[in-house]
Amino acid sequence: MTTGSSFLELVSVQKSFGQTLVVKDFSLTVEKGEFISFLGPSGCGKTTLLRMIAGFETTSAGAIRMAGVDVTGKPPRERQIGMVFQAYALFPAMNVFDNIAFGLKIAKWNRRQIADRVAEMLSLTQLEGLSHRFPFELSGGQQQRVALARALALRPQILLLDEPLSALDAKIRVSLREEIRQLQRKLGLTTIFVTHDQEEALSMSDRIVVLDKGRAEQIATPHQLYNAPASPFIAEFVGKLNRLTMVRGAPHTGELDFDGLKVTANSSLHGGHEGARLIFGLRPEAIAFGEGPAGANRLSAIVEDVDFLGSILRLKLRVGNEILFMDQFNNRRNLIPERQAQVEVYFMPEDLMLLDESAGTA
Amino acid sequence: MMKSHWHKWVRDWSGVAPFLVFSALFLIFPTMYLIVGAFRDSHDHFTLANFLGLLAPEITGSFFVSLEISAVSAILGMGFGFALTWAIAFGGLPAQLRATIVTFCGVASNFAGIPLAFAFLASVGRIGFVTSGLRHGFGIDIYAMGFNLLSVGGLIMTYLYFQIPLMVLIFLPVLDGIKREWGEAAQILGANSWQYWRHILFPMLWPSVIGSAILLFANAFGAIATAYALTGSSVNLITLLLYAQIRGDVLHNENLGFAMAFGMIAITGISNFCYLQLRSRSETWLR
Ligand SMILES: Nc1ncnc2c1ncn2[C@@H]1O[C@H](COP(=O)(O)OP(=O)(O)OP(=O)(O)O)[C@@H](O)[C@H]1O
Ligand SMILES: [Mg+2]
Repeated sequence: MTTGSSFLELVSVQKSFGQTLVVKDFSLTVEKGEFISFLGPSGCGKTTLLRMIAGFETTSAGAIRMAGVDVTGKPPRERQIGMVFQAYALFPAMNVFDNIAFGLKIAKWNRRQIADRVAEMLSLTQLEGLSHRFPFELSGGQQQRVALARALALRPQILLLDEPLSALDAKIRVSLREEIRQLQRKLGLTTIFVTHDQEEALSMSDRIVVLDKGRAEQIATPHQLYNAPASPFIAEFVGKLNRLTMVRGAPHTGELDFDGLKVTANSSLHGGHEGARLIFGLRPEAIAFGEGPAGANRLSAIVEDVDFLGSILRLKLRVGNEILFMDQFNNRRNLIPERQAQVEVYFMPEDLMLLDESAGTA
Repeated sequence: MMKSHWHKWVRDWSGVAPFLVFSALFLIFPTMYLIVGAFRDSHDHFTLANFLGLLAPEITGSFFVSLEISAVSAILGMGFGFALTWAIAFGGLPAQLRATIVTFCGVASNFAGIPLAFAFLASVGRIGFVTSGLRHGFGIDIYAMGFNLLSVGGLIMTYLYFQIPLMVLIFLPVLDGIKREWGEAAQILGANSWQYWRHILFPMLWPSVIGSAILLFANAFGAIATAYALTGSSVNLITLLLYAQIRGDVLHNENLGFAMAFGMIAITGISNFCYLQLRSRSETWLR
């Protein structure tokens, strides 16, 4: 990846449909060769943003620049963009070859050049031998490969993908997402990938933009996003999270009351009002069996349920009146706890993420 | 073993039996009777003379008039129907209006015979309210200008009343199948609207358009009630001639009547065959 060259810039972009503001003051700088995901719940404005970048939607305010050039008012065909849609976007009356060749024919390439480029695209997307098939003769995964080949044939500056995998079944989804990522790295292609699947975003992206109600909640690497979520919304949206409601004890001690148990949080959380209600997030994998090192918060729990997810064991624990989920790597040497068994677990104070604080007395 | 086999056979076939009996009695046997009759003379000997008889000017003339009215009303119905369907599908109409138009088309496409003829006579007939309204209100006398409802042109206009809605009904599902993504994909690959039409939509739509027009043609070709109610026998349609033949044997040759019917069946059959071919062609893409 070449660094320092901001390739795509969105500056305070807004979009309203009638009275409703769908994208609010959105700014983003994408570097050449970067893989960015737009992640967010349904209706948060991901598609609208992507369509603004493509030029299918006008911007109500703000500017879009590509390679330093303002493209805000330009039609899609002048933006040198490749786009892959969710589904059904292949031209149905054309075979694979003609679908991929379409942009080249419009650009008036000669037959020889077209044949060469299409062959190159077919091999790039592992579609050799399928060039005479029609879209209805292809599987969903193959159709999306053709869509990818068609989008890449003109060597676009930027590739936009709007939930390209969501119509496929789980297995193909995973293998195709790896393939797309490899291809993107190989071509050094600046890419924006829209998804509402957090696992997809975490596994593929250089950076993720989490959107909520038309606003960018956080723009960060998958690591940062998961380990240091900027807001309670993100903490809960990305990954699985336990919510723990605690009541603050004497401020100087940093002690907290968790359903009658004494718990300590990170020193940055000391202070504040005694009796305040605090809501913490705790990742399931931050909980472990045993006593832990000094300073760990130790809990006695009852195993309510054990969910075997292959590489991971997800345990549902009852601590007093609260439920906690705990993830543990599966290891054939470990014993799987019985239901209703009593277990001792711990977590470290620094793993508590403060989500919300209210002054109300308990 | 044998018994259960027999039971299964009865169960599987009893449901469709009334349909099979019905079609045998009123479609297959009459058609066969008719086809055989077309190749016989009055002494039940094989002959091709009946088909030579079709070349009589009265009969070729009525075939020609029927073909003309059917073809013109099909082409016009296709054209206007296409435009209307396009407006319904992509014109951004309120959903309510769209539903209303579609319902109206469902009714209008089946509107034929005496009620339809009456509606046109009452509005644009010689003393119809539109005719007299134009004459008294604007001083325009459409009959003096050469218009005549009881003519080939008038009949075509009347047929359009059910041809256009029929086109809408056949064609709306086709246009509804057009995905927004096709247009956008074409656009982003550099195509302008003309190129999108030329390379994407046209190859996909023409079989359906032509197929629909052929269906309209067959629909008009077989129509008789509207023409009879409207014009009596002043327009010389093949269906009207055949009808007169059946009632009064104006040609004094039953077997010649069979040959006329055979000719009509051939034309309708070929039309339907072409329609089905074209439809299945576009359906493979769009499924
Ligand atoms: N053409 C339009 N007219 C009016 N409102 C629209 C239009 N397009 C989108 N919206 C609204 O804008 C909001 C954002 O839509 P958008 O399609 O961008 O969401 P999304 O994040 O892509 O959701 P999903 O995950 O369901 O695809 C939604 O509330 C939607 O109803
Ligand atoms: Mg979307």
